[in-house]
Parts: sequence; C-alpha cells; structure tokens
Amino acid sequence: MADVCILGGGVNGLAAAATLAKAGRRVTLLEARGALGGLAAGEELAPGLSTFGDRLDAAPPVGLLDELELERHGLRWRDDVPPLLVADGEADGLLVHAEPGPMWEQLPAAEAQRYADWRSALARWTSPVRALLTERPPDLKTRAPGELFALAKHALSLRRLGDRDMHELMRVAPMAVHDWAHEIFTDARLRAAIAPRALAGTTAGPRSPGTCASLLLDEALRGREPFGGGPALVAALTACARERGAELRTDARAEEILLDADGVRGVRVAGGETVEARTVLSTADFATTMLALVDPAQLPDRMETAARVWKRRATTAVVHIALEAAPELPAAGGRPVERVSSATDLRAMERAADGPKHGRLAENSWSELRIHRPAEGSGAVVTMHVHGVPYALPEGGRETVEERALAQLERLSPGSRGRVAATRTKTPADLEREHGLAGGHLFHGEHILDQLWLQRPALSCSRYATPISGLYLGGGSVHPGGALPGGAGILAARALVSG
Amino acid sequence: MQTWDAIVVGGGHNGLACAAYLAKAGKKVLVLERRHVLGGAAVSEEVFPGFTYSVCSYVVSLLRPWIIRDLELARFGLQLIPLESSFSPSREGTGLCRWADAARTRDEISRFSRNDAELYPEFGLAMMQMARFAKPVIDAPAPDPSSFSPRDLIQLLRLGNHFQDTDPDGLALRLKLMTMSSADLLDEWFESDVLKAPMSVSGIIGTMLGVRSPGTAYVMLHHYMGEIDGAFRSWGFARGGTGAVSCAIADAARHFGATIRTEAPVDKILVSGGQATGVVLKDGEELRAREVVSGCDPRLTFLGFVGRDHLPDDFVQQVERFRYRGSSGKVNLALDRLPSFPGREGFEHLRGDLAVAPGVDYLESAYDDAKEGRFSKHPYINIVFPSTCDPSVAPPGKHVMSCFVQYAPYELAEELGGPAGWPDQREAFGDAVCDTVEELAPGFKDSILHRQVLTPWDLEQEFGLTEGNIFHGELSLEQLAFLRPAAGWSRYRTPVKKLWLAGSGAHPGGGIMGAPGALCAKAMLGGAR
Amino acid sequence: MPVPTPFHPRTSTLSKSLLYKEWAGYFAVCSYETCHEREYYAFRHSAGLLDVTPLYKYEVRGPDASRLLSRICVRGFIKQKVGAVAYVCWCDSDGHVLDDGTVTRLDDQHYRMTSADPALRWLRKHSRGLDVELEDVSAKVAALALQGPRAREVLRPLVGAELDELGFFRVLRTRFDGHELTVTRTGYTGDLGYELWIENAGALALWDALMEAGAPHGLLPVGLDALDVTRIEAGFLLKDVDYFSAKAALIPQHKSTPFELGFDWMVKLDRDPFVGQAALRRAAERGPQRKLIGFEVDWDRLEELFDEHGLPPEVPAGASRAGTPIYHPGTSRFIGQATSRAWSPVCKAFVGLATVEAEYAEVGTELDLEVTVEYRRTPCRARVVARPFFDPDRKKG
Repeated sequence: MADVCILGGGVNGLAAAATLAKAGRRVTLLEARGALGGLAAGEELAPGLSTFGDRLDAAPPVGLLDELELERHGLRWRDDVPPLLVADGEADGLLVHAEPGPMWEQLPAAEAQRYADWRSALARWTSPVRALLTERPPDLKTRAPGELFALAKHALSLRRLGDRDMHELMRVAPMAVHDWAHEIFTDARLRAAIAPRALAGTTAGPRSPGTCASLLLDEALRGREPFGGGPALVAALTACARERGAELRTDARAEEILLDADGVRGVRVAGGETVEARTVLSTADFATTMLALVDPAQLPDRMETAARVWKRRATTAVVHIALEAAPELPAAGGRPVERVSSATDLRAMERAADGPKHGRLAENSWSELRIHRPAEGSGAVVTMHVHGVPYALPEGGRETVEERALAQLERLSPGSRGRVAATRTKTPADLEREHGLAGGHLFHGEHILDQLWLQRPALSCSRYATPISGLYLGGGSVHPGGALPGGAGILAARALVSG
Repeated sequence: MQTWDAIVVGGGHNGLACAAYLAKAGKKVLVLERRHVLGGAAVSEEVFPGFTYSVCSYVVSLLRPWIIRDLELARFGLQLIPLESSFSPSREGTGLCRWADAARTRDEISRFSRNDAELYPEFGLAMMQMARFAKPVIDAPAPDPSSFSPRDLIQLLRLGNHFQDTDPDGLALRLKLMTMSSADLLDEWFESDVLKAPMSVSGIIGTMLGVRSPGTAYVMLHHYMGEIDGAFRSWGFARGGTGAVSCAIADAARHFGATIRTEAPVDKILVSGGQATGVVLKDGEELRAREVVSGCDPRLTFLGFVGRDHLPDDFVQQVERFRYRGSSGKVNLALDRLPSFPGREGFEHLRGDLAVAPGVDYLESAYDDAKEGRFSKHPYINIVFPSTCDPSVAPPGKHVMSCFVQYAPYELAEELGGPAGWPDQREAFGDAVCDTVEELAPGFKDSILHRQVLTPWDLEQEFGLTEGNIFHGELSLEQLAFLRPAAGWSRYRTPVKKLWLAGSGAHPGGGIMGAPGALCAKAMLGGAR
Repeated sequence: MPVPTPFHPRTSTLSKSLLYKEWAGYFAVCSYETCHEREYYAFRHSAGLLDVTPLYKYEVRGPDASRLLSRICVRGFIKQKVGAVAYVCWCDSDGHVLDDGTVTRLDDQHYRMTSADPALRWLRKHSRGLDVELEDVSAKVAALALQGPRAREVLRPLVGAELDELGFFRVLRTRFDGHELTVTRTGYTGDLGYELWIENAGALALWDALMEAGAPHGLLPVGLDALDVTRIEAGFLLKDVDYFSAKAALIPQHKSTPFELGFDWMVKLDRDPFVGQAALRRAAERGPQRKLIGFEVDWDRLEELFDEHGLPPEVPAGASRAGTPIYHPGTSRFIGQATSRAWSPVCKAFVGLATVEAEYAEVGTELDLEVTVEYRRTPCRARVVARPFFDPDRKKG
C-alpha cells in the first residue's frame, strides 16, 4: 500500500513525486502513456530531430524546484532569457529583450525609455508579490493566528511598495492588456510584444479585462529555463524521484479514484488492478479528475458544479515542424532567434480571439514560434502555437491549421517550406485524445481572471486539498497554473505534507 | 460682490443633490446649469409637440432611498412607477417575457428550458444576497486599501469581516462576480440563450466591453440592487420622465434655500494659490465662492474648467488616461401606435422594458463591430414605452418609445472620420436601430411619427459628457471604488483645495444613484465640522 | 397569473366563496364556502375530494431508475417492491433537506415521484452515467386526493373489489374511462384515503364519477384550508412553513437535516452512496441541534389568560402559519419557534408544530408559547406531545 498515489507523470506529477518521496512518503505514480513527461516529453519527428515537448518553453516557477537539486541529476539552467522577435515577414521585425538595453538601438529614444521604465516598474511590483504567489494561496476564512500573521506579512510587504506603486498595481491587475499597452507605448509591435503572455491559455483577446493579471502573474513567477527544455527537465525529475524511492509506473491508466466513507481508499487502474492509498494527488485537469475519475454518486454537488463549469475552451493548436536546416529569419537582421510572435499589432490578436469566441476557426491566426536546434548535427525543430483554433473544427481543420503554420513559417523564413523534413500537428481534439486534457486545453483550464490563484480551480480547492478527504489536486488546474510546469505539483505536495 | 458658501457647476441630478444637502445644512448655494433645463443627463424634454422624453437616462432604479427620504422628494413631486416586465423578442417564436409574477416567468422560461426555469429563482436569491454585500459599498465613500488611516482601516476591516462571515458558496460567488464576465457567470447557471442574453447585457451598459469580457458580472448586481418600495427589485420610471427626478431634487434644493440658474455656462473655475475661489461664466461674469463643486465629469472639470496649470502632473496624467469610450447612443421615437410582436397579443408585455438581445453571440457580434470602430449593424437595444404607464408623456393614444442603443463607439474608425464623423453617420445609425426593431416587429416603421437620434458625439456636444460616456467614465474594475476617478482622490476631494467632485465620475459612479452628489455634500459638511 | 387545473370547470362552479390561492402556478381553492368547517368534517366524518394537481410529478424509467432514486433520496430503492409507495426526502451534499415527496414503484424499471418544488434539474444533474429516462409529467397528469372514513366506499364502484386489497402506501394500477388510472393509498390528512392520478383528458370524467358515487356518502369538494388543519392533526410538515428547502434558505440557520425534521426513520445511511451521505453520517454522529416537535397548548392556562381580561378564549379560525417564539419556562430564554398551529376540532385541543433546541424535544417537556391576549403578548404553557395528534385505526386498516 502506498502513502500517496500520484496520477499523471508530467512535470507536475514528477515534481510532486520527488517532493513527497523526500518527505518520506511511499509514492506510486501512475502514468497512462508509455513514457513519462506528459506535455514536456520530447517526440522524435525525424532522425536526430526531436521536439522539446508541446509547450513553447519549460520554465518552472522561480525558486520552487530548487530544493530538488536537479543539478545533481545533470540539469543545467540557462541564465539568459531568449529575446522575442515580433515579425510577420522578412522586414520590420522588433527583437524584444527583457533587459531594456538592446531596445535603444531599435526604437526611438522616448519609446525605449518608456520600455525601460515599464520593465523597472514590473520588477518593482513583482518582487513583493512573488513571495505570496510562490506559496499556497491563503485561506480567506481562516482565523488561525499563524495564517493571519502570514497574510498580514504579505499585506505589509505590498504596502511597502508605497502608495503610488500599490495603487498602480491594483489598478493595472484587472485591466485589459490592450488598454495598458496603449497607455504606455506608441509602437504597435511593442504593444503586441507584451501581449502573448497576457493571452496565454485564454479565449480572451487583448481588449479583455484581466489579461494584465495573467501577465503580472507570469512576470512574477517565471523562472529560468533548463538547457534541453522539457525533455531534460523530465529526465532530471525522473532520476530525482527514482533516487528517492518513488515508484513510477507507465502504461498505467487510472480509471477511478475509489472512495469509501472516510474518503479516498485507492485508485483502480485499467486492467482491474487496485492501487491502495489513503491519499491521491491528481495532476490530471480538474474536470477530468472530478467528472471522469470520481463516482458521480460520491462527488459532492458543489464539486460537480465547479468541475462542469470549469472553463477549458481551447484556442491553440500545436504544430511541430522539423526542418533540415535551421531557418533564417531576415526580420531579425541576422541575429539568432529562438522565440517569435507573428502578431505585429493587437488588432490581429483581437481578431484571432474572435474566432473561437464564436466557436469557429479564426479567419486569421497568429502564432508563437519556438525554434530549437539540436545540440549536434544540423536542422531544427520549430514548435508553433497557432492561436485562434477552437476545439471543434470543420473537416480538414487539422490540415488547414498545419498549412497556416507552414505558410507562416514561409513568410518569416522564405524557402523553409522546401526544407521540411516532417510535421506533426495537434489540434485541441488531438491534445485531448493524446494527453487526456479536457477540452484539449494545454494549461488544464483557461488562464482567465476568475480562474487564477484563489479561484483556480475553485475557491474550495485552490489550496490543493479538495472537499473529498484524501484527494489533492496538483496539475495545471491549480495555482500557479499550466504555463509554469512543476509549480502546482510542488505546492500540492507541500500542502499534502503539511496536512 | 456676494461670496457664496458653495457654487455647484452643473445642474444634473448629482450637482443638484449636492446643492440640496448643502442648502439643507444652511449653506448659501448657487447651482449653475449651462442648458435651459435642469437635469443634465437625467432630463425630460418635450422634444416633439406633445411628446415628452427622458432624453438620455430613461429608467430609475439605483436612486438611493435615503436620498428620497432625506430630501423629502415625494413632497416635491417624485413618483416612481415600477417596470412590470422584461420582454426580449426573438426573430422566430414569441421571445421571452419575464414578469413580476414568478410562476408566470417560470412558465415562460420553461418553454426554452425547464432546467433554467427551476434555477431562475435560485439565481435571483443568490444575487440578492450578493447585492446586500454591495449595498454598503455604494452607500459610503470608498476605502483606500493602501491607506493607514484608521477611517480606511476600519471600513476595510468591516468589509473583510463581511467577507469572512459568509458561507463558502457565497464567498465563492462574490469572488466570481468581481472577476467573471456576465456571460460566463450565466453560463454556469443557465442553458438557454434567450434567457442569458438579456440578463448578461446589464453587465456591459455604458462600457466598451462585451458580455464575455471579464469583470462585467459585477455590474449585473445593479439589477438586483435597485430599491423600489423597500424591496430589492429592478427598474422603474419616474412619472413625467427621468427629468422629474432632477426637478424634484431641484425643488428640494430651492426649498432649502439654494439658488439655481440655468443658461449660465461656466467657462473657468477660478483657482488662486492652489485653492478654488469661484467661477467665471462664458459671458465673463465672475462669481465668488468659499467652495466650488463640479457635477461634471473629471476630464471636463479638470482639463476644461480648472486647467492643467493648476494641477500636479501626476494627477493630470491620471485624469488623461481615465477611460470614457462612450459606446452607446439613444434613439427617441414618437409613435402612432405600439409595435406588434408576432405571437404576443395585447400590449401587456410592453409595460416593462424590451431588450433586443436575442442571443449572447448576437451581443458579442455587436461588440465586435464596435471594436472595429463601427456602430453595430445589429445592436443591443433597450426599449421602454413610458407612455404605457405614464399618460402624461404623450398625447392620448400615441406613444413615446425610448431606445438605448449599444454599441455606438465614440471612436469611429479612421475611415469613417473618427468621432467627428458621427454627424455623417447619425441617420444611418438611426436606420440600423429602426431596421433591427422592424425585423422583430414587422410594420413598426410605419408607426414612427418623429425620430430623434443621439450619437455619443451628440451626447458630448449637447450634454457635456466626455466621449459620450453616460457614466462620466467607464464602470470597469480599474475605475471603481478607490480608483474613481484617480487613486487617492476617491473621497470627492481634488488636488485643488476647496474644489470638490460630485458627479458620476466619483465613487460610486453613474446610474442615477444620486450617491456621488449626496456623499460629496456629506464629505464637505463633515470636513467643515 | 395562475392557470386553471383540469378540474377547474368543476371546482370553479362549486366554489361559492371565490376564495382561491396560487399553488405552484395553478389556481387552488382555499375553501368552497367562506368557512372551511364543513369541508374539514367531510374529511374526518365522511369523505372529501381535493384537487392536488399542482404537485410536481416526474416519471423515471430505465434500467438504472432504482439507482438514480437511491442516489438522490435518503433511502434506497433497489429493494423496494413493485407496487410500493415511499414517503422520502432528499438532501443536498451538505445533508440539508431540499424537498420531500412520494416515490411510487409502478414497475420494475418505472417510478413516479412527486415533489413540492420543481425537481427535474436535480434528477437530471444526478443521472450522469446512468441509463434512465426522465419525464416531467406535472402538466400532463391530474391528481385528486380522496380522503376520509368513507373514501373506500366512494372509490370502490369505480375501481372494483381490488381496492379492498390495497394496503397502506401501496399502489393500484387500473383503467378508468379509457385512461390509465393510478390509485395510491396515501394522503396528507392522516386518515383513510387515496390519491388518484390520471392523464388530463380523463380528469373531468373521474371527478364526475367520484362526486356521483360519493353523493350517498356525504362526499364534499374540499379546499386547502381544511387540508391544512388535517395535516397538522396528522403531524405532517409543510415545506416553506415548517422548514425551508436548503436552496431557498437565506441563512445557514434556515437549513435543516432530516434528523432535525424528525425524518430519522427514513434515512438509511449504510448503503450505496447517495447525495449527502457523508454529511449525514457526520450529522448522525453529532446528533441534531434542534428538533421538530408536536406541542399542545395548556388549554386551562390559556382560558385563564383570557379570563383575566373578561374574554372567552380565542384561537385562530383555521390553521395558522404565523411563526411564534417559544421560550424556556424557567429562564424565558428563546429556544425555538412554533410554525404551524390549529385548533383540532377532533381532538378538542390547540396543537401545533414547532422547532426547538434538541434538549427540549422530549415528549412531556414543558415550554412557553407566546400568545396574544387582548393585544398583549404573553407566554402560555404548552408541552411536547407525540405526533400524530390524531391517528385513527382506519388510516392503515
């Protein structure tokens, strides 16, 4: 009998397994697929050309994975943040760096100065909230002195920002990124450059209020990326969890979380076997966990409602393109580029969001690209997130999306079409089928103002424990969400250990 | 020269309410109104002979009952008539009408979804509970969470306690209301579009947002916060039109000794040594006062009347970026007869409001047009026929029809000429509205005797509403409470000493509440003590 | 506006008083005469006929019909016999009562459920993963309550001798005038009686046949006012009067567990999972904080109180639903409230239903009920008594 049974062997599940094993728990992890890693697992498209997983990056939340000492298992972290090229063709590109320095060469001085001011404001605001956001979300109903003290401490650190910054932070957080960008910047590309992270994982367009909250959350929490991306992170986590004694099982699909009068008693695995455990930590998304894995008769009404209304409307398809040679991007002026966003103004993003909003494929998508070059040999893998793609697609939808991706790449890098070695396209429906993601949503549920932090996935389970005794949530459906792998798994494991 | 205790710039309902409270406290008050009639946007005018319109604001719900009691408005002629129903026609079928009678409403909803019919009263109950929480927020100045002052802290603690005292479902719903879109919130409860659309739309009135935009759910609460006859219920007409509210407040103010001048446009607010000292009228007349109150919106007040030279840069920046983005227009019609909607007999369903909102996607598409700088080809229209309950506003047998129309974005696309292009679009906009109604009520257009079309441009020109925003600035999350109109200045004070802001650009905002004006007066009187 | 029931053409001509009220969207007769007394005595001495069409009615069919009802209600239905009727309540996940009604097993895979509030959504919500078909027949099926000591004699000519075999809380399926007629031996009067369920088209013929068959037995049409008195005598609760549905509760104190309502006997905890099971287990361990009880006012004391003002004792003309505080006789502390009261003509006693703190719920406990005597509110002694107040042998016999 295990102490804890973890469902799902993605980054969150592995991080939770390593954390719990370190705390002395007997851990059994069940992964439905044949390999560990979930969305972070690599996939070989052509000889020597593997993806880095279906996400665009694999940056865990700042500091949260430190205690796992993954460096001991060969992981190395990058100190640089690759700049983002904003371009939709061969010219007029803007290469946006997190550090404002290089921006002075590309922008008029006043605009570059505004960018520098904006970056420093972000840095000022995010440091006091980081501590709050890298912990378990607070209990609003608490009367416990310890919890109240911790809350007061966070409130004080916020107040230390000073009136002006604090007002500004509170004003901006619920705003639309469109409105904020327009308040500050005049360059359309720069306005568009700050939007992708505000819009990641949401049906909202840049004019939607609350998109700034996503941006601020990401800014406060995004940590370093590992060399080798998702697959390297998965390998290190796997080694770490195994070393600490966690049992990691693949080809083991959980069919039901078994309950008795006292709560969780185990997990039934496909094939009929039962893994007995008094605690289950599910890294499956909220809707799948509650609606597909728990007996409807035993699911509290409140949970049924919360899971049913859990918003998981996908808007993004993943297209991997293996190229025989690394693509040249003239818009970057010869500089090497790893990240590209094809939206050069906010209006394009808004129009793309209008498609899925009305339940149809956007007439014009925009894409984010990540270009990986294998350590040795030639060629490259381009992973694209094509936005404006709903779950329900007409016949031939996958081909349309793939064609758009290839055309997009061709616009950015003429001639690349002729160098395509292989492609792999996953529509939301494909993602649902392959990874068990409800609605095919890459982040296990939309990142939208009412589904963040305390409300992720619902007030009653945002502290990782659920109203079902012994059942914990540790996937992208809980804070800090699906964009920052590992964070939810670690925080859920900690919540479980602290009881 | 006489020195007034206070001069109030703008004779809208808030300016008048402020004046009435000040006069009641014994102050010598002068109200200056630019137009020939009082009321600002809460005004009744006989636009066509025999037809009286609530030209802009057309229904009353949030007018604070304590103001009615304090100023004895009933004595000065204010009578509110509750709207009896809420009808949303559809192109096919008979549409949905929600009645005051719960069982009848249930039957109507049942035709679309039994599920929704069962949940509808539960939703109302939940929202009413939420409205109880929102009420103390709109009936007091907004506390500032960054402040260390005991006054703010106590108020915050009280709100925090209220937060803690509620059951978990209530707390969760409260958070959802503050963060969700109205359409998403309704999706959590209901399945029928014909019900969700007219309910969701109350979340976007007067904003440049769509029903799927987060943060709009909260505004739906206002529908459950209206207080008529001591009960939380929705909307009503003022007998004689919305201007009757302003007139009653004006009469109360006069009764308490205030002086009110119309056709007295203010040109400047005089500031000397960082302190307001009076006003200059457009004709050059100078008037002195110990305190000056503006009932106008923040941009007009600070950048128009005061001037940036008298204001700190930081404050000017905040005033400049305060968003207005008027998104609505008004079409007022005189009718020979009431329109006839297929499948509905008689006119009982026209005694309440009528919402042209056949579906959530319809509304969202209307918003898509506005995002591109065009008025909606098929807009959301909120229609009332006040003459069905108030015979004083139309000749016998004839009717007035008031259409609130969204979206009509102030900022038209460049190819249409931007905001100044509106006069050229005015009639096309009016046609779009009439055509949309015609589709639902064939033959309607033949009944039109007269038509008045007000675009956001007209609202700005005629009523001084910046960018045509009916609420003196968008009611969006970042422009509410302690951030309205600017961080640190939500308690009706301004960076200019002795200058106060009493319009809807101050907390708690627009909607004919009267609260900004009354709370401003209370702040002024409290400060003097 | 309320709508007429299928019996309206008959009930409206019989109603001399024009006293109606709205019941679930229908017109319902309060009393056919201005005073309901004759109708009350019909129920108790001969027989009365009451239109109960406004009850909500649902048909549940399919292989998982038993499982669905077991999942929702506080008792199981897997083992319920075909032909049996059960009175049950159902709860939310917190173990708070939502509504109560009857569940009739018409066939192996076919049930009919009645409720006071619409319940289709709740049934649907909990049928996830189950093979069931749900139908709301509320507007299709008309219903009558035929109650009173002569009810059997009135009904026998229509149904036949089979009726004599029909046991208490059992159902009989037959045909009448070409329509399926379902007869259950149930009712809200605590007397011998039946409830009859027929599709709307057969409603008027059924009414006419019953009135004709009943004429020699003193059958009268009866309105809701008389029913209210008899249901109090029978000790039956009324939702929205004696308790609130959890979904209509404004504050947590307005919610009740089945144990607080005295429904202990119907709750079966140790069985397959059902809505509220975990919460009810905890509630059962904790024991109820308060309890619904029957009480009887000390008549002598009441007479004395009135006598002090030179007045004869005065009680409400019919059933009273005015909530009234109950105090501890020693300390005058508030310990609960009376929610239904009536003078019972058959018991010659002033009785009622109340909710009091659990420690004062024992039969025999003395309480002080607030009464109004000559405009003054004053405590009057009452004591807890067992329900039902009136329980004739013929009810089950």
